[in-house]
Amino acid sequence: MRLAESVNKTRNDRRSVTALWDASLLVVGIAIVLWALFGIRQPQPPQVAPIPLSQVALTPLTQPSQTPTDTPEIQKVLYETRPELGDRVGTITLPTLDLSWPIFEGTTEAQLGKGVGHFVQSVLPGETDNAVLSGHRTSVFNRLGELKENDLILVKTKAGTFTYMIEKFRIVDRTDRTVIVPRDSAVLTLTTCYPFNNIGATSKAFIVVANLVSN
Amino acid sequence: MAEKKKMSNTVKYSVPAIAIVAVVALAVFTGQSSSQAVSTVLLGNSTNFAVLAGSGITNTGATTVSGTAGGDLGSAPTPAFTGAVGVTTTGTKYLAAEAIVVGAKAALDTAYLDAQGRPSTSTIAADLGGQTLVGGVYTGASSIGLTGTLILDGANNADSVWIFQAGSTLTTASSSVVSLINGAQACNVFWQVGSSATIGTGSNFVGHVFAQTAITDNGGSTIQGQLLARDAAVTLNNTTIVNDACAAVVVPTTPPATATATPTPTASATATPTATATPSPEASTTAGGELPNTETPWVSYAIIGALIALLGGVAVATRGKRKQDAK
Repeated sequence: MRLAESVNKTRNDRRSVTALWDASLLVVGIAIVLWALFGIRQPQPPQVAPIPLSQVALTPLTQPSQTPTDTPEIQKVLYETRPELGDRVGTITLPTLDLSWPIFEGTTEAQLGKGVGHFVQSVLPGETDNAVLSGHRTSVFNRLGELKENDLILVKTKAGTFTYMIEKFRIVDRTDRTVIVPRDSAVLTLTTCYPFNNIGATSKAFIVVANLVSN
Repeated sequence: MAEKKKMSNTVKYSVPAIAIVAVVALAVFTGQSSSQAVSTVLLGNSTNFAVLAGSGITNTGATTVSGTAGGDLGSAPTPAFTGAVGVTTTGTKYLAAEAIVVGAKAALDTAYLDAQGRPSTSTIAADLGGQTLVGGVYTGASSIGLTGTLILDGANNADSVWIFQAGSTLTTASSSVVSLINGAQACNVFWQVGSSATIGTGSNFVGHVFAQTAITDNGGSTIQGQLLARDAAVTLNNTTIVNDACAAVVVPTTPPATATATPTPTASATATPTATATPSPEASTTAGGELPNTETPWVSYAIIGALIALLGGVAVATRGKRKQDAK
């Protein structure tokens, strides 16, 4: 009789423990979701004042270094000092989407959470070569897919206002190493993850390649 | 007695110390000697050609060729060019037998033999990945492999020259990288390959490749330099080739303060040819950089949380149903 009572008690204890465990799973899961949504998810960063398109003179630039020359081309120094990690670099405006975001030096979460990040190992906007700017597909660059070829991108930094015209779009693997490469002319490359509305991690990247047309 | 012990200790500690100093001194000495001795390989009439082949060129996909030295592509004696329409170049695509291509091939032969004949300064014993090499002539008796990143250190000398001599093949793994630091220039890197060279998918390769037989890009690679095959074919596959001439010898960089002190509008017009034609190292875009991670972290956490909550919810619901059934 005592043995039967003891067995029943043990069973009840076990049931209570597993019931508690199930309930804990539910509570912990909901807590993680809430934390992710409201705790670490930073809100869409505030837009900044757009660069007025009317101030931009659309004078096509001659593409440098397209033909071999005997004398080396002397490049004007646009930036006397390089920005430090986290410094505000400037502003990017996408006139066709009516969007304008701040640009910060660096592409870690510390910068991408606040706006657009400038890839440190690339030249600064306006300079000859490939300037790379990155952003989250869920915030600042969530509408990059709406851009069209020949749309303008304006970038304002302490060196001036630079106008780029979109040449092409690419969808590549995130491991692709042909995007961040040196270029002979002033090119702006925007990168973000792809697909834009994918739930969970993505393995692709959406690339916008634009050429400097005016400064 | 104590003095003897002290002396013995001194000897005990100084022998390894002297040995270390000697090894370091030897290493520094040999490093310097190798970086000083090597002169560049003259390319002659092959300079303008980003791609030269013997039995034809085959291209797949969209290949881009450019560069200040020239973006010409040609093959001789067999001028076949399959997939030429997919090649965009700032130079000329030679589709038929032309004397200029034959001349370039002759110059390639000379350059190949020059590179092959240079006395070796170091032997390549293992894969080049993970190594940092100053200028010199590096010899692999048979094959040379590159997995990962090879760093070429110019030691602040823009004229440092690297010549790699492979007895047979040169093979790079997928996504392998040749990185240039401290003033090293792509125009001063030469690969003399005894048979064929294979560039792995998505590699970022640097240098003038002279292969006795064939050269193949497995796909999507970026090459700062040239792909020059003497006998057989060059196979391109969504390749990007930048055949740049050497930048003018860089005069020690002017401090920003000096630059702002003399910002005359005529500065560019009066600049001497020795002024730098390229931005400072930190002001140029890295080759083959990894795309920044723009994935939003909260999405992953939210999904994990939702899955855990779902699991718990199902378990609680099942338990409730069981209880009801039991009643």
